[in-house]
Amino acid sequence: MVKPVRSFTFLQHIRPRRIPVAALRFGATLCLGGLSFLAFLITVGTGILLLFHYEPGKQAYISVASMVSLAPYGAIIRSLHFWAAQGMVVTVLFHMARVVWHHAYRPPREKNWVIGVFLFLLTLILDFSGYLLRGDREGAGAAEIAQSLLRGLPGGAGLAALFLGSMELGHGSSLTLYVWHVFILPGVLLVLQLWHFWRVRRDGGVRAL
Amino acid sequence: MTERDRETDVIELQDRGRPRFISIEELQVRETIAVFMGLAMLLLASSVPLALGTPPESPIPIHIKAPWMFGGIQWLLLRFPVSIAGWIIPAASLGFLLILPWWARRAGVRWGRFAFMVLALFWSIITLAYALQA
Repeated sequence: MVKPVRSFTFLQHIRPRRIPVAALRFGATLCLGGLSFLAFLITVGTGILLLFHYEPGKQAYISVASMVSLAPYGAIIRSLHFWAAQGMVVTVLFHMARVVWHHAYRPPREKNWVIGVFLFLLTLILDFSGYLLRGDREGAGAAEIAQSLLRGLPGGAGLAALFLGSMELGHGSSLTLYVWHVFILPGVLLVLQLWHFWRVRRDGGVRAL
Repeated sequence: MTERDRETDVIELQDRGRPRFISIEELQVRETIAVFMGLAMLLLASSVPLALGTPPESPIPIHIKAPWMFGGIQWLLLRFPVSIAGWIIPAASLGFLLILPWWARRAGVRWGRFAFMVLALFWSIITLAYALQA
């Protein structure tokens, strides 16, 4: 017996030809997953614009201050970046609650639930790293708390250096943290999101309630 | 009715020489919600100015505040040993979330929902408690 040839199905699942109409109803998902992705896209878009003005390191606070007061629309873009990030955290939380409320983590969706939990964790870490990058004393203080928490773990000093770099109270932000916040964490988040969407379709789509 | 049936509708209309677009109501609802959320964020961003923090060289003593979503952990850190407040409780919560589908399969989905809600309530209350005291 000849097995049917299976082509690469990623795009086919992301954009399927058939979707049960009942699954498209607003009440099935409350659009919370889509809204958190929209918030992610707004955060990425505004984040790219912020990159043109932001300087990591000792100049972090001054660059943020000049961005807000001198750069055209700098204050609104920074504010939009902040609010979209907060919106993302909130919509992800409600999305998780909706999934649990509707028992939507049942087989075969367990793996996708696990991916979702990691997406939630990454969203929190991204938000926290953004808070530290402002380069103000509040951010530096929070970095100090995170550093001492990490150093409490076996091998934690290395972990703290790997993630936070050389952040100290009153010394702005660090290049290491900047790289994590701008490249690594959003990159991993995007890949996991695409995998999450693919699995939603692969596991039979969103079920009608 | 499936998406395929809708495609068939479009083809039938075109065959009769009256090509026109058929709107997909559910997608329009989603697009409208997305537009409103985008506009709400824009409105929020333009009407609520985001203040700058304390300059790094400022000599004024400051109260170190965690971002709101980590307020619960900071509330715990003020009351319990660091290892419990900073690692054990957050890691246990995360671990519970990871095993929830398998645990709920054994205990029952209603228990799964109940346990999740207790966990969510716990973190919401301590986050709110931190926000109120800060």
